[in-house]
Amino acid sequence: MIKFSLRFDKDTETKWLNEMADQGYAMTGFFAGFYTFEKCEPGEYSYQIDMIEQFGQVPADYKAFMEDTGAEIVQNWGIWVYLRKRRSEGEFQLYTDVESMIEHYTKIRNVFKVVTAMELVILIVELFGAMLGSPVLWIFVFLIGAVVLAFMNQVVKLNGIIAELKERRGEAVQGSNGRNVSAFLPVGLLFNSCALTMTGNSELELVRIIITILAISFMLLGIVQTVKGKKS
Amino acid sequence: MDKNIPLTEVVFYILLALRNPNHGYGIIQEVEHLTEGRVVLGAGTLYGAIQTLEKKGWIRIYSVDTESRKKKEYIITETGKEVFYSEMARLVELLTNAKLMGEDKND
Repeated sequence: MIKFSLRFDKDTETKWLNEMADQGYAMTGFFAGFYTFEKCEPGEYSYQIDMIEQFGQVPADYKAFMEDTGAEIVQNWGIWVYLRKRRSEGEFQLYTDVESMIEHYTKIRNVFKVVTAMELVILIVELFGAMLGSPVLWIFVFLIGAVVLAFMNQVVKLNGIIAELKERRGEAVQGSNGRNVSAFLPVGLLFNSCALTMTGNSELELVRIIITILAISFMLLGIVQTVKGKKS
Repeated sequence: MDKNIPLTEVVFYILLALRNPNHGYGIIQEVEHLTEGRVVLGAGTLYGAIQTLEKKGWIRIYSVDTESRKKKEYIITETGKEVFYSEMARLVELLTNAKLMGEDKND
């Protein structure tokens, strides 16, 4: 069975794969949003998703290490590794103490930050392309825009998880002085500068208005989020 | 050395488990045994900790199984032992002082 699903959140993805395994569907492969499932005994496997340092290649010692503990590498996708373990071999948890959880989530958060920044650059390029007369590019602008929003959401969510873990470790989470500047702010500013470059061109008036509105809403969102801090 | 302690429980037990050469799964079992099942190390936690400790020079590779899979055995280094002993001194101090709690009761 093949299922298509776009997932950006590692934790809910893990939960979903385990629910599928509970229903007798063991995930055996992944390619660009397409998950392959094979029939299994309900509850035969537990799944976990890990992030590794190298892109597209599982280090040999990592593989040996995991197999040694009874886990099987199902699929490697970029920096993500899908692992499973037979439930009969005991509980399957990858990260069992607060320190390593913080480290794990911080690594994921940083990757999301970098990727979001890259997507933003692409978004700006597409935006200019679309404005300069390739209307088809608007499709990409919206698609990439959606991805950027989803990723920024992940960064915010991961920040929350990390803050919670640090609190559990007994570390006073920095209050006012450690406040994160919301990613919406720079996005809004970028949109705003895009809009400014278009002033004086009457053909682009409508587009300019739309982008200005977007810019203002982003900046407002950014200000609200920054002032509120990361407390949800 | 001071900024290295206190050690986290995970690091403490990994160092202890590596007083003899041991590989990943062996460490998990040893720690589980020593703590009577209280501390069960997750594979990701242990893998990450081993990388960090090796980089710090507290543990080193003892042997690599070349024929089958690349299974590695690790052992504690002299630096690792020094860190462990200064942590031990701290723990002894804690325990000595902790006993005060019961003594002053009926003065």
